[in-house]
Amino acid sequence: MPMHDIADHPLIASLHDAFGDLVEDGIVDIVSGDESGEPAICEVQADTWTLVLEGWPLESAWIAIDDDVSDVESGRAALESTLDRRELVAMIALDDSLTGSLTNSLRDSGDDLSVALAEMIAAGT
Amino acid sequence: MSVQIVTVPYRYDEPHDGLGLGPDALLRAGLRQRLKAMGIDTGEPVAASLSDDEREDGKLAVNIGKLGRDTASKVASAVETRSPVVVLAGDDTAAIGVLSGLQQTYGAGANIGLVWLDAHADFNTPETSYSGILAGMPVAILAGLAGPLWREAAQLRAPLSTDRILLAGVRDMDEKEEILLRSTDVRILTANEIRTSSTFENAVDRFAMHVDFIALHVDLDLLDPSLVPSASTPSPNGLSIRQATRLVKYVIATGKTAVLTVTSLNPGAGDRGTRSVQSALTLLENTLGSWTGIGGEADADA
Repeated sequence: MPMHDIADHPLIASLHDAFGDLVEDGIVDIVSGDESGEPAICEVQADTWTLVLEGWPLESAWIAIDDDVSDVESGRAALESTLDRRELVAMIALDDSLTGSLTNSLRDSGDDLSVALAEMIAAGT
Repeated sequence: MSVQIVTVPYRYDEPHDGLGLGPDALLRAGLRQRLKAMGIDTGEPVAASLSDDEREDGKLAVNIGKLGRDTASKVASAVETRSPVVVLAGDDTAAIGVLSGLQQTYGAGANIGLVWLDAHADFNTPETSYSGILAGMPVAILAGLAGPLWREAAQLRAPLSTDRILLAGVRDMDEKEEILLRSTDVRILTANEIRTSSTFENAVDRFAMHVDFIALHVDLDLLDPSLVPSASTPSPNGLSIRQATRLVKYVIATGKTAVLTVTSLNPGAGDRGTRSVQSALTLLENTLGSWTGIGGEADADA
């Protein structure tokens, strides 16, 4: 099976387009768990949150933070205190690049925190 | 808050050549202005030097040692202010002068530890080295395993006990170098070991319990070559800026770090050099804000 440069994969390329400045500033890392050329799982890792993306085309996505949340509303409050503006703008750019599949996957996760993030991305706030 | 900056703008004993251009490149790229914007005053940097009168033909190690003696003097003066001290040096050989300066200030018997963040162990001796490159030897020189004339010229009064050396980020060692290294009490953490887990943090916690002062040394080839594409000794699978920031801030947070030395910035090679300079600036900017000097623990999450 031919090996491809994983940097050329469309999901990795979209992640770098959206989060590249934050990577260069040492705020996030983009980590792929697969060196075969097909990133089964990608993570955007920050000090206080991790965004997990699974499959291509995107099959599932969720976000993890240190705090526990009990519903979508508390999830939104937790995210507002965790994410800064540049990080959210990067997620919005990623969702645009993936033609909305990030927000769809976050909603489909059923996880309150991820659903709250989907709403924030969709609202652009 | 203020930070004292000492520069060693040399590659070995050659001023303003190759890596020796790195310190001035950082200053020209606006390091002081960027720190000033963060509320950190730096004052006028002082530069270590080696005069032509002191230089001896054909005695490279001794000449580097003499440069180290002046570095030591500058570092000692800066450390005595109890402000954080940043040494911007061309290559890793500057470390002998930096440690000599700490011994001048705190005494030859002071309990000084060295945290060395580098893709390479720099633990070669003339007997183990395939290349003979002196920049691959400074940790072994500091440990007293080689280079007595070099240490003497730098006025390093006592070698560093190997149980007070922590190497981290290592991913490239020569075979004989590794055998020598693993026969000592030096703690070695590879890049993969420290990338995500708390291995580094746990090691620093234990290390800091046994030393009173820490010299933190960062060779920029710790970073992935994509971030420092002009590195003269690149090694793949390096750390991201975020990961390196985490390590440096954690050592600073011990409250025992007396000096941070940053080396091996090659500002040449066009855009690749520019990219490397930006990475170095970002790393310094991300880390120095949490450092208040010796005494009082800083917050690694700050």
